Amino acid sequence: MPRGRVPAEEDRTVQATAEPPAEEPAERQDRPDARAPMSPSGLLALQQSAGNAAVQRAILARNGDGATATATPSGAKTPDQAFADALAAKDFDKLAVILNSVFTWSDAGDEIDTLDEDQCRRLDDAARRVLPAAGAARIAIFARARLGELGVDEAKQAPGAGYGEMEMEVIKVTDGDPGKKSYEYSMKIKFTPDEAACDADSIAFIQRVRLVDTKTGANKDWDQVNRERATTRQSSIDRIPGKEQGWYGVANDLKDQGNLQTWVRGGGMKEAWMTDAPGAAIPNTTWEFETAAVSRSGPDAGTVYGVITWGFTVDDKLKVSGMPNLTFNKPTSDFSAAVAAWNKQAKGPAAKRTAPNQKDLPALQ
Amino acid sequence: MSGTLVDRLLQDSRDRLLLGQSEAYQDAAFDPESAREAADVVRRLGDARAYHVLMALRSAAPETYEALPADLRAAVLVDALRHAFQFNDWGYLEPGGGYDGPAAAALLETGESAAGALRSLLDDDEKAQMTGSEIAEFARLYRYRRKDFAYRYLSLLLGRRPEFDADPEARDRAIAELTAA
Repeated sequence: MPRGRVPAEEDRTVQATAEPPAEEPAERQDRPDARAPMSPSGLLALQQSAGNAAVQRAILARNGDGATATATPSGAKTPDQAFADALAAKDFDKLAVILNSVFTWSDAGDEIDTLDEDQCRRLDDAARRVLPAAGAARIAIFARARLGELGVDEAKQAPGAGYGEMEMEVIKVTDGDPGKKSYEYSMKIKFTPDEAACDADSIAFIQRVRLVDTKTGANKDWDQVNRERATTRQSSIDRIPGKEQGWYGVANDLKDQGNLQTWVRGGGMKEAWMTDAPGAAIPNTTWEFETAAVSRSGPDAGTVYGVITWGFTVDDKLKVSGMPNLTFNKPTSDFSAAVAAWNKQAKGPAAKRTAPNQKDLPALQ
Repeated sequence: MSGTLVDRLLQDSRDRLLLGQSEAYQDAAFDPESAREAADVVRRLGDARAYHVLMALRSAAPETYEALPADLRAAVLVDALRHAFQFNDWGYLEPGGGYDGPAAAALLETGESAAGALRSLLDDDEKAQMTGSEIAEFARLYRYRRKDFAYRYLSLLLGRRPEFDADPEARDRAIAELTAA
């Protein structure tokens, strides 16, 4: 397995002295673990401003019970403990930060060699979400080498390639004209399943949307029902009023609308696809999307086969700027929170549902 | 207080905000006196300028709203449809049916009062835009026009089953049939 260069820092039992850094940037995933005294992106900010040693001190001082970090020797963690705790908590964002900032690269490689395929893929995803590009690239080298050791073909080691191929095409981007014309961002996502890898009878999509004021992060969704199922990051499952299904593009009679093709085993189609064309005349906004191809029925119902994040920003003149389209193996915790919020809404008062018979989405794997 | 609320609602109508974008609409609360004053504003204006005030009364002061003549409510609502910039308040259209939003529901409550004015919109080819994600994709995919919405509501008011074909030319044929009826 290839190994990175060993950095100078070798102190592995340093105590915490750092204050928590500034709030996480709006475009980053919020941390689900409210007990954590410092978020990965916060650690990143610290790493960038104060260096790896400060990050080491901050991470290693975390108590195992989640209490606030202290500067006492008894609160210290070894890198191995920090790694094991993050892995046990399935907190792959934290794992990526720990591997990137506490371990020597040689030791990081050794730790990654203990991971199974799913853990490797989730670590790869997390590294690309929370680390600077260089750190993410180094983690990816180790993670994909480990996948190779586990027998995963090279072509299937890339994010989102484990079960097939995720592709996104931006069809047309139109700027708006204040007071006259909406802006529009027309796109299509395809998932071509590897039928041997996907134990599904049908595959469709679930989409998370986050429409916020770019500067303040305030929720700009005009639909009260959507806002009522928003996560703490102001994301929600993307459906329109009257639709019972959380699956994007699925009608109440379970048929495909015009904006969806569900892949059905034996149905003669090569791929599942969905189209979207978000647009409005709302200035100074960020439209963030996360679209997951998911087994809708069959033995592995609820299994996420691939994820694409995409979106755009709009300025005060309604000019649209696209964001990079990124492919991942598994969704963010914000996506899972949006699914949970959808399901909670489905069980709540009928008047506050998106449709009287709003249906649950499956537990995602 | 009530004057401020009505002023804000009137401004939101001038700005052609969706109801969901109007804080004044969402926060609207009326006491009997302010509801009466708001109803007077609706009577005095009688067109799309009073759209947010009318819809706020419907939501927050239903008794006052229902006391307004159906002809007046229909006039405000049809004029709002005539000048709509974004159509989300009206719902959406799709093959096999559609969804009637709050403005559509209010219009349908007025009964045949709205029929004449709706007929005048059956030749309005202007593109109907939607704010949003999947709903905006519907607008793009099916090439919504203002007359598609007018056709649906007029059909329902006349007790006819509205058809919605994905192809605008097929919809034009249905509109022609309704016009001739």
